[in-house]
Amino acid sequence: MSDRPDRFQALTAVAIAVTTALTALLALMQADAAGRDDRGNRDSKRYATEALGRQVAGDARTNYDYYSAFQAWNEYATLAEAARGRGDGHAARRFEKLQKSIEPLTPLLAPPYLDAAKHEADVARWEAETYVEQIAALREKYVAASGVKEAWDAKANTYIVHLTLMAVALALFGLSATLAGVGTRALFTAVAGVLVGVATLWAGLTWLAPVPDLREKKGAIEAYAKGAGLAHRERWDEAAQAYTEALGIAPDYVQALTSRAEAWTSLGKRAEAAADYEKALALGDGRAWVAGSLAWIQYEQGRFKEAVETNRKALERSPDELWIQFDLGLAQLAAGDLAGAQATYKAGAEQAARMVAEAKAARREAPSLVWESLEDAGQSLDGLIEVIDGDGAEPPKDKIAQAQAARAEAEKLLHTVKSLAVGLEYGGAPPAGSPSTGIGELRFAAAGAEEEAESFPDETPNVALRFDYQGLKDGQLVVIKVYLEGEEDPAWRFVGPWDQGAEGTAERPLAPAQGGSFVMPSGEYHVEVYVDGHLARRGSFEVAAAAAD
Amino acid sequence: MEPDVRQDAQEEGSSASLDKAVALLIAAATVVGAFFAWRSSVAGDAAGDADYAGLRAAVNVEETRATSAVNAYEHYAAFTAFHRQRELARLVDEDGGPARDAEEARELADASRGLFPARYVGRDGRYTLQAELGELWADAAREKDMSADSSFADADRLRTKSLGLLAAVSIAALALVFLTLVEPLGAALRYVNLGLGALCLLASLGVGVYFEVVAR
Repeated sequence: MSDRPDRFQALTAVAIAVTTALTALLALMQADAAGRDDRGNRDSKRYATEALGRQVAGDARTNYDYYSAFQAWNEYATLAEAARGRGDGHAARRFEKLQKSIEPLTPLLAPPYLDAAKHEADVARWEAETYVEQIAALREKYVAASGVKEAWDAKANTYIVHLTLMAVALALFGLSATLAGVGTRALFTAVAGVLVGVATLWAGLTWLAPVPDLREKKGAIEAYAKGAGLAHRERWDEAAQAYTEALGIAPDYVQALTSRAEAWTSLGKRAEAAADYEKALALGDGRAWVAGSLAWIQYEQGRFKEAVETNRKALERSPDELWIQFDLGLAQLAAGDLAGAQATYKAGAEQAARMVAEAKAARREAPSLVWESLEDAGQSLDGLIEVIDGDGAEPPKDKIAQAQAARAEAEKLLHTVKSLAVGLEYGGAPPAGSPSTGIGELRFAAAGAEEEAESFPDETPNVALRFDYQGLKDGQLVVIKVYLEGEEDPAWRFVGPWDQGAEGTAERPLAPAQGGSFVMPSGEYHVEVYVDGHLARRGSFEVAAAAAD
Repeated sequence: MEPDVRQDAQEEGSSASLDKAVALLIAAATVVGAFFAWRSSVAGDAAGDADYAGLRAAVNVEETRATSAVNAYEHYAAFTAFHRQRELARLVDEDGGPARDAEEARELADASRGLFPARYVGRDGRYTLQAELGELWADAAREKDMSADSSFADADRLRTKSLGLLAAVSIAALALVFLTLVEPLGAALRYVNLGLGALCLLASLGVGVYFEVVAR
C-alpha cells in the first residue's frame, strides 16, 4: 500500500483545515462582537444612572432655589410694595432689607436669572444651564450606547449562527472521509462546502455592516443638548438652530429631527416640521407620537386624506393612543367621511371607558392621558367648528369637505366627548340617559350687578353665571367648568348636587372666593354646565385686558 | 541490494523522526492553545467583574449625588427659614419696632435652628452649602467604591487582553491545521506544512505572551 493518501482524502483534509481556520477566525470575531456588546450595555447603564442622579440632584436644587429662596424674595417684594401702598415707609424698608438678605442665598436671585422689576425669575434658564442640558446629553448618549449594544449583540448572535454552520460543515467533511460510496461522499462534501461558503459570505457581510455610534460624531450630541436647553426655555428659534447644527454633523440623527420638528411647530413653521417628522419616520422612528404629530400638521395644512393615513399608521404602532384615535376621527370628519368619523370617535369613547373601568377595577386612578385626550378631542372639535364658522384659520376652510354637514356632526361629537369626560370622571362610566334640555341659555353679569353682558371691563372682581332652568331634580350632579383662553382652571370648577328645586333662575359667582384685591384675569372665558354627566349648555364672555400705560 | 536496504532504512528513520516532531508540535500547539484559552476566559471573566464593579461604583456615585443634594438642600431650606426670622428680629430691633414682634421672630428662628447642622453656618452667618455637600461626598467615598472610571478602564484593558489571548488561540488552531496536513498532503508539501505549523505555533506563543505578560 502506498504512503501517499488518495486525492479525495487529501482534498478533504485541506477543506477541514481551511474550515477550522475560518472557524477560529469567526470565533475571534464573535468574541470581539460580544465584548463590544458588553461595553455598549455597560455604557448605556452608566449614562442612565448618571442622568437619574443628576436629575434628582438638579430638581432638589431648583426646588430650593425657586420654592424656598425665590418665593421668600417675592413674598418680601410683595409685602414691601403693600407697605409702600399704605404709606408705611418703615415696614417697606424693613421688607426691602429682608429681600436683599435673601439674594445671596442662590444665583437664581441675581442677573441674568432675576428680573427684579417684574418680580420674575427665569427658572427655565437656570434649570437649562445647571442640569437640563447635561441630562439631555446623557440621555442621548444612553440612546446611542443602547443602539450600539443592540447592533453588536445582533452581530454576536449572527456569528454564532455562522459558527454553528461551520461546525455542521466540519462534521460533514469528517463523515465524508469515512464513507465508502463515492456518490454519498461527494454529496456530503458538496453540502459541507456550500455551508462553509454561505457562512463565510454571510460572516463577511455581517462584519462589513456598519455600527453607527452617535457618540463618535463629535459635537452632535453637544449641539442637541444645547438645543434641548433652549427648547426648555422656549427659545424655539435658537433651539431649531442648535438642532440644525447637530443635524449638520449627523444628518440621520432622529431625535434631533423630531426635536427640531417640535421647535418648528412652536414657531408655526408647519411645512418644515412636517418635513422633519417625515424624514424621522423614513429613518425608522417607530414612536407613535411622531406619526401622530405629523398627522396633526397634515390636518392643520388641510391634507386630510394624508392625515387619515398617517394617523392609521400611528395607531398600527400604538393602538392604545387615545389622542391619535380622536385625531383620526377629526381628520375623517374634515375629509367628509362622516360615518368613518362617527365610528372612530365611538371606538375612542369605548376605549376611554374601558381604560377607566380597568383602572377602577384595579383600584387605581385612570391614566391622565384619558382626560388629556378627551380634553384635546373637545378642543379640536371646537377648533373645527370655529373654522367652519369663519373664526379660525387652520385647517383651511376651503379644503373641508361638506363643511356644514361636518359642522353638525362635530357639534354632536363635541357633546358626546365632553359628556363622556365628565361622566367617566365622576361616575366611572359614560353618562346614562339622555342629555338634559332644561337648562336655558347661559348669561353673565358682573357680581352683584343686574345688567347682563358678554364683555366686562378690566379689573372686574367677579362674574356671575345666570341661567333659567326647569325639570331639574334636587340631587342631580351638576358640574360647571370654566375655561380661560381654552384652559380650564380646576380651582374654578363647581361640582355638587343640585339643590335649587325643579325650576327657576340660578345664579353663581364663577371665581371662587378670593382676596379683596382679586380681579378676573383678562381673556376669553368659556363656561360649560353639565347635569348628570351630560353637557347641558355652553356659554362665553370676555374680560378686557388692562390698557397699556 | 544492500545500498537500497540502507536507503530504505534511512528514509524510514527520517520519516519516524518527522512523525515524532509533528506529534510533539501538535501536542505543544494543543497545550499552548488550551493554556491561552484558559487565560482568555479568566481575563474575560475579570472584565465582566470589573464592569460590574464600575456600574456599582456609578450607582454609588449617583446615589450619593442625589441623596446629598436632597438632604443638603432640605437643610438649606431650613436654614433659610431660620435666616428669615433671625433677620426680621434684627431689623425690628434695629428699627425700634415692637419688642413682641422681634421676640416672636426669634422664637420662630429658634424653632428652625434644630433642622439644619449648625456647623455649616459660618462666622458671617451664611450657610456653607458646598462644605456640607463636600462632607457628604467624602463620607460616602470612605464607605463605598466611587471610582467607576478606573473599574471601567480595567474592564476595557481586560477585554482587550482576553481578545488578544483568543487571537493567540486562533493562531494555535491554525498551527494545528498545518501540522495535521503534513501527512495527508504528501511528501511535496510536508516540510512546508511543518514549517508553517511551527511558525504559527511560535506566533501564537508570541501573541499570547505579549497579551498575558507585556500588555497587562
